[in-house]
Parts: sequence; structure tokens; C-alpha cells
Amino acid sequence: MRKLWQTRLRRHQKTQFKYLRLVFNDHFVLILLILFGALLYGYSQWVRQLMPSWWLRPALALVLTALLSFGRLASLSEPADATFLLPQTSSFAQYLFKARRYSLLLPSVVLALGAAASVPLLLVLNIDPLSGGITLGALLLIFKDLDLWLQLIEHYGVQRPAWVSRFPLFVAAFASLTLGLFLHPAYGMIIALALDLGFRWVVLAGHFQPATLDWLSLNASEAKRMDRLYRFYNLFTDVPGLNSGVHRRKWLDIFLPLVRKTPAHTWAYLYLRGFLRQTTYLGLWVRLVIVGAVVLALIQVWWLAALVAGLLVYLVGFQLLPLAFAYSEMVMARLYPVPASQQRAAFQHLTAVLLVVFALVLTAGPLALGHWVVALWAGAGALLVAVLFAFWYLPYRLRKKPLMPA
Amino acid sequence: MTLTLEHVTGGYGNLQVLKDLNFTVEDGTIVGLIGLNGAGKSTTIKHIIGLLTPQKGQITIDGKTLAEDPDGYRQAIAYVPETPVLYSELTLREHLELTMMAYSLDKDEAWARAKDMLKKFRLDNKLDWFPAKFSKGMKQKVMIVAAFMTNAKLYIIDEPFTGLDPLAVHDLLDLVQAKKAAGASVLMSTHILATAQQYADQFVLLRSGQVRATGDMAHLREDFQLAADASLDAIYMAMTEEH
Repeated sequence: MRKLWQTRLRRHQKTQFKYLRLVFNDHFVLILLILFGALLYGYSQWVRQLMPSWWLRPALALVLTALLSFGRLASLSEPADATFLLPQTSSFAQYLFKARRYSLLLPSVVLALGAAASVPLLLVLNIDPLSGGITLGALLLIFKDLDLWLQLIEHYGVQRPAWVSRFPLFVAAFASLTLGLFLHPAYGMIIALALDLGFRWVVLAGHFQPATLDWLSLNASEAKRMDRLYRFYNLFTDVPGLNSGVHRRKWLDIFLPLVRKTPAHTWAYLYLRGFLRQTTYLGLWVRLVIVGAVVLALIQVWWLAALVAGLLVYLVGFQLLPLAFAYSEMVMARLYPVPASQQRAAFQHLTAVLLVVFALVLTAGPLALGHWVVALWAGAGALLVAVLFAFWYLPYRLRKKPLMPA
Repeated sequence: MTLTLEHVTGGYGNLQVLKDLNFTVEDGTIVGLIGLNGAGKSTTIKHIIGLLTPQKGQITIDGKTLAEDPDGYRQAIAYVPETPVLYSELTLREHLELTMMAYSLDKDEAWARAKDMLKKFRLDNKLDWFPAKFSKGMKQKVMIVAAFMTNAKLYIIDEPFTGLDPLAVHDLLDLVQAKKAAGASVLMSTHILATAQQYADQFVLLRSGQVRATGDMAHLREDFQLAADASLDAIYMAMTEEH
């Protein structure tokens, strides 16, 4: 089992590394650095003028609890395990313990950064930054440890009271964090430690039966985790074999008559439905347009608004690109007696419409607050990028990579 | 409509699977494409429908290759793949609508034909379902309806019977014979030899990417020197025992 875990882990890390290199390509890193810098600057400005008020403690506790909920159990199990390793079910627990320990790694880094970022706020709250920061970090790590144990025993038939599950854990974490921020994080850490050790002694030592592993639920949760991960990668690069989910979204059928049902619109018919019903694209478009409108409402510098609006249009256009290739594996689509140029034209048309509508909706943010000038500039910047993207960049990209590879 | 393969050699990239294939599918005939797993049946079909391009030789429909008249060539073919392939985000109704658009079918006529088949396959109350809710047999039926709704002159059916219930197999064979009666031709690959013997007029026997024998039953019996009542099964076994 140790060897199995090691080979699985090595293979997993190799693929992750491959994808991460594709995600963090040069221009994306540049955008991230700029955004990160702006965020840090904004944060430091905000902390400087901050007064300790009643909502600060629970708000910080809430943010840290949300941070705590990230990070799933990476079991790296495969569906075939349920058949081939069935006789080894009991010893598979050793494998899963290793998987749990590994799963603790990435959240630890994130939580440590979260604790470090809270240090300036501890100063505002009159808590000693050194001891406070360290105990706050320890508190978060101990809760994460407990969270991963809970995620692990979810797949086992472990006798336990109903309140030993993830949601009550987060409630407890929120309460301990709030208490810790009122007195000193060390008190919260003591609660976390008591819960964690209590769980290990009472539930794990007393009721854990390695033979009761539910393979199907383990596989289902691993598949869900990997799917979420790959869908994230898919925003930046092509993930082969990713079957993106679909939702019926019947209420969106009002948009379907926009494409006429004639042979010349065969591809437009398909792409419109792909955009509206595949899980990735519409959700992304809506999320970015809302975030963008809010951000633009807060910006009062005209050139910054134009820049941010243009950047947002570029981002959303870039992330619509995989839709163009969504049907490249579809045998029937290759056999249609329609000219190949129709597919390219249909996707270009869809992209142009989506980006122009996106640009116009963005201006609703500043308009709502009566910032006419900012709205005008943001709209102009966004429309310029939309036109450039659809009619210059997109044809260039589609020339480089055929829509239907041989 | 006549489909002709002349000296077709091809495969995947550098891997050569088909070696110098020659056969024709004439108007109003049903041709059975028979061979072991890996003999090249599906590869032959992929070359005919244009998913793969022959390395040598040429494939013509009424004298025209795919390159000479892409839209006309594709318009002439209806294809039912071995494994059903459907768009996960389209309903059954939309699959049929899309097919009508792609093949420039007259909507009223095509829907009339489709409705009959949907009723036969007991799919007429599932027009608004997504493929995720269909069983494998139901998906196969959707592919059959989409293909037989068109005005194609050549029907290419890859392993049509796996996953279909016996009633659906009968209905499919009825459809095939109706199309034959209407003058279309059918190329059908299958392992169900008894059915093939009963329904097909001509056979193409493939072995290791080459045509071992073609012709009707009488011709095949003669070729393999078997008795006058020898079944296709006996001919098939005789072929596999040859070296």
C-alpha cells in the first residue's frame, strides 16, 4: 500500500505540474502579479485607516473559516480500485492515512498565509502580533487536521453521533476564532486541540473499522474533486477528455430563437446551446460581468476603468475559447454536409455578440452610481477590446489550431 | 448510387491497417461487412465516411471522391456508429432538429418520418430528454432515427445490433429493407452472422485488412469449397482456419 501511494502520488504530481505550467504561462503570471500588488496596496491602505469596531472580529473569523473549508481529501483513488483492490479493503486504510497526510500540505500553506495576513489586524485589535499570529496559525492547522479526518471517515461505516460532521466543525471553528480574537488566539487553539485529540481518542481509536470502506462513495468524491480541478485548468488550457457537465436551464430557452433553424445556421444552433447549457461558460460570463460591474462602480479614475474593463473583456473572451473546440471529438459533427468555414464563422459571431453584450453590461456598474464619464471610458475600452478580440485575435488563434483536428 | 473502393490502402498515421481493398456496393443492395475483431471493418467504414483519408487508392460515390465534392459526398451518406455519440447538451428533439438543419431536410417530411420511427422505438414521449437519461440501447435508437430520417442514398451501419432489444432489431431490419426497396444501398458490419445471412444480398469478408472474398452466398460457398447448404457461420469458420 505504501508503494501504491507513492506511485500514485508521483504520477499525480507529474500531471499537476504539467497543467500548472500551462496555467501559469507568462502573460497570466504578469496579470496575477499586477493584481496581487494592487491587492496588497489596497489592503495596507485599508488597514491604516481601520478603527477597531464590533464587526471586525466576527468578520475576520468568518473569512478565516471560509479559508478553512478549502482543501479536500485527495485520495487519488481510481474506479478500478473498487474491483481490483476489493480483497485489500482493510489494508487500504493505510493508503488513505497517507493520502490524508498529503492532503494537509497545501491547505497548511494557505492557512499559514491567511494567519500571516491577519497579523496587521491583530495589531489593530490590541493582540500581541507574534504569539497571536503563531497561535492563530496553529488553531487553523489543527481544525484542518480534524476536518480531513472527518472527510476520511465519511467513507467508512464509523459509529458516531450526527453532529460529528463537517458543518458543525465549521461552526465550532468560527466560534473558537471569534472567542480567540476577543481574548487571545491561544484560547481558541486550546479548544481546537481538545476537539482534535478527543476525536482521535474517542471516535478513531474506538470505532474505526477499516473493513467498512465504502468504495463507491470514495470514488465518487475523488471524481468530483478531480473534475473541479480539471474544470479550473480548463479555463486556461485544454484538458483532454474532460466531460464538462451540462444543465438543462430550461428558462434560458427564451434565447434560443435568436438563431434561425436553417442549414446555414447549423453550427450557430449548436454553439449557442453549448454556451447556455455547458456548466463552464455561462457561469463564468455571468460571474465576471457582475464582479466587473461592481469593481468598475468603485473605480473613479477614468483611465484605470478603461484598462480594467478592457482586461475583463480579454479574460472572458480567452476563457470562451475552449468552447470552439468542444465538438472536435464529435464524429457526427464532422460528417455534416456543411462547409467547414461555417463553423469558424458561427463561433466568431457568437464570441462577438457575447463580448459586446458583456462590455455594455459592465457599464451598468458606474452608471448606477451616476459616474457618467467613467462609464463612458469603461464602455469604450471594453468595446475596443471586444472588437479586437473577435475580429483580429480570434481568427489568428483559429488559424493556428484547426477546429477539427485530423 | 454506387460506392466503389479501388485499391484502398490506409490506416492510422503510420500504422497500415487496410491493404489494397477493392469492392463495390450497388444500388438497392444490402452488403454485409464480415470479419474478426481487428480485421479492419471499422477502419474501412471510417475511410468511407471520410474520417480517415486513404494513403493509396480512391473511394467514390457515383464516381465522385470526398475531395471533389465534399458536401455532395457527405449528403449521400447516413451513418450509424458502433457506439452512440450524442451531444450531452442537446435534447432528443434538438438532435433531430440539428440533423435536419445540417442535411438541409424538409422539416415537415423529416418530422413525419422521425415521428413514425420514434413511436416504433417507444421514444416519442422522451423528446425533451437529455442523452444522460438514455440507456445504451435508447441512444443507439436515437442514432438510428437521425440516420434513417435523412434522404441518404447510402446507409452505413457499424455493428447495429449490440445493445438493441430483439424488438428493436426487428424494427431496424424493417427500416433497412424499406430503404433498400426505395433504391438506397446499405453497408452493414456485424458479427450476428445468422441475421446477416438472412438479410444481406452480398458479403465482403475481411481478413487482416484484406478482402478475402466477396459475393452472394452461392459464390462464397463455391469459393470456400463448401456444400450447397453451408451457412455463413460455416463459411466464416472456414475463413478463420485458413492461413
